[in-house]
Amino acid sequence: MREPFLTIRNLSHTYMKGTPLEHVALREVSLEAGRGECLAIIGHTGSGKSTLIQHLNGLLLPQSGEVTVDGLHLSGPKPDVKALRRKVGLVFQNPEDQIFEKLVGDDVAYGPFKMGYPLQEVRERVRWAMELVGISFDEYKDRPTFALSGGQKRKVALAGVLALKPDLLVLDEPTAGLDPYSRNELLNRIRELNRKEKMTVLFVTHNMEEVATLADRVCVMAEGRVAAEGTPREIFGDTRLLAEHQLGPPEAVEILHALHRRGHPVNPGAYLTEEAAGEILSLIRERE
Amino acid sequence: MSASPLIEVKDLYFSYRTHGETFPVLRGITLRVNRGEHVAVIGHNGSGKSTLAKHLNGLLLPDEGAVWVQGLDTREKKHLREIRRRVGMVFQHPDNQLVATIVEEDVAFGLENLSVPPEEMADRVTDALRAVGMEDFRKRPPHHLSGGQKQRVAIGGILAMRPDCLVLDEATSMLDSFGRKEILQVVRRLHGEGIAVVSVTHHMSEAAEADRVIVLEKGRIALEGTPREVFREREQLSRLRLDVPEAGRIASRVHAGHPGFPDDLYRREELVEAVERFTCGKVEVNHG
Repeated sequence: MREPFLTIRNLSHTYMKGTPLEHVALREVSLEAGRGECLAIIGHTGSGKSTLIQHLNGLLLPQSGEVTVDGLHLSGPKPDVKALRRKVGLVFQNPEDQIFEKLVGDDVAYGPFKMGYPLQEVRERVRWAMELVGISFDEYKDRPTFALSGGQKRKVALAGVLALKPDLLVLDEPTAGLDPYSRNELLNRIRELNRKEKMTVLFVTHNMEEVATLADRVCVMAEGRVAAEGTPREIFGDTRLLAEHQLGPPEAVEILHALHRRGHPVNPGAYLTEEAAGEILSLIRERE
Repeated sequence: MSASPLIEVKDLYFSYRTHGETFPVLRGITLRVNRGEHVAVIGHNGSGKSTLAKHLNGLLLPDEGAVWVQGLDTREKKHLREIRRRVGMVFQHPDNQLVATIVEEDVAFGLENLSVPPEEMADRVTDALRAVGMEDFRKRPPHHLSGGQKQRVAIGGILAMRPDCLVLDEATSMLDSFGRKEILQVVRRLHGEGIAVVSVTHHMSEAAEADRVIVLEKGRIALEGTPREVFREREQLSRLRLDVPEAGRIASRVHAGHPGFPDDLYRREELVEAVERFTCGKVEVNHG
């Protein structure tokens, strides 16, 4: 069998170990992602999602257990974090924390520039990345970053990471705070990167619509453990699982669940708009 | 003439300035928020929503035009404290607005500047926590709460000041639909008690709950009306990079397959009820 692109085995992490404030964030987490796969991680605040993804670009190193990205082992005594960061691009949750240059173009260029690419290539990468997230290079490169809206900042932060053309893209709440159009646009772009360029994508989210449109597989985390794993359809269809982990499903699923509770024979796992409409149509036609 | 409005915005212009350049954000906004009204403000990223929201309690001041809160002009410094007591704001990031180490202290924080006597303070904190359903968490540290719970605590801190209006600036953006529901329930309750709510949101299903929806585009009001009036304008909304709520998308697909089914339903409950009407067969439509 082919080695998966990302392997996490029995990963545990404890914050403030040996102090009265000791807090176990990850307990024996095991997870795999194949090359080109898109994996969503969901779960409540404090379930360990953020701690997990900080291991993927070496911000945290394994205390126990293993993390391997594309053959690069991070559990040894001297892991090559620099090589890791060429492979893995991590986009944090709050874009304003990641933007520090005065001008948009400079901010996106920062990573590729530091990687030592020639100026012309840096420029090409910046243009590519900005257009990819839907921010016009010509119009925005010389704009001051502070005059951007929250959603635009998010796109600029993402472009800065994409400009590095990582093999593994890790996103923390990629579309929180984006308007519906930008949300769809960004999700489509990420899906394109994932499907066409075979970029492996792992994202943490609260937004189940995002899971529905993007993920091949979903991992539900709770109290530092992997509580469940499956396709979006399997996860959204499992009412008990959703309730137990207080996960709000996509709106279409909520509507179907409401109908289901009232005794209508619908399949609540039909999470796409089209499917949900189809379920309702067949209900109506049945009664005629 | 109707009674004097709670908030009146007249010919509001505002630009961000830097490096000798000017970036106009609001270009002539005139609106009123009446007592007890629930107004939703939608618009794509960069349309000026948050900038407008920050004018409602004097966090930003107009370049031209004016904002009055019950007749108090936000440009007059001496009124600012009273204006901010009457109009409280909750922002996007749950973690950035909690300041104390225990929930009740956080809720009491704003009161300390209002010279409220200590015994009254305790009562107000109790009332506020009850109103947001967080009384059981009174003695807890806020950092282990879920995002929705943190936002409820933030709302509690504002309620303790007995405001007339609550402004939610994308307060649900970082929450899943479970957290959004928690906030929505609180908003409904407050609205029922006569507190005005202005919610800036990217979630069309939240806007569908408001009495009135204002759509911003390039710093101007592009569309205004009841949710039904606004969401009927599908084409214009799509041009403005917005959308209709998921319930509306489902309804129109059902309508396409079954023309008798209404295609202007935007709230989840409306859709579920309509399905019930169409499937329970013999319910006669008597009105009209």
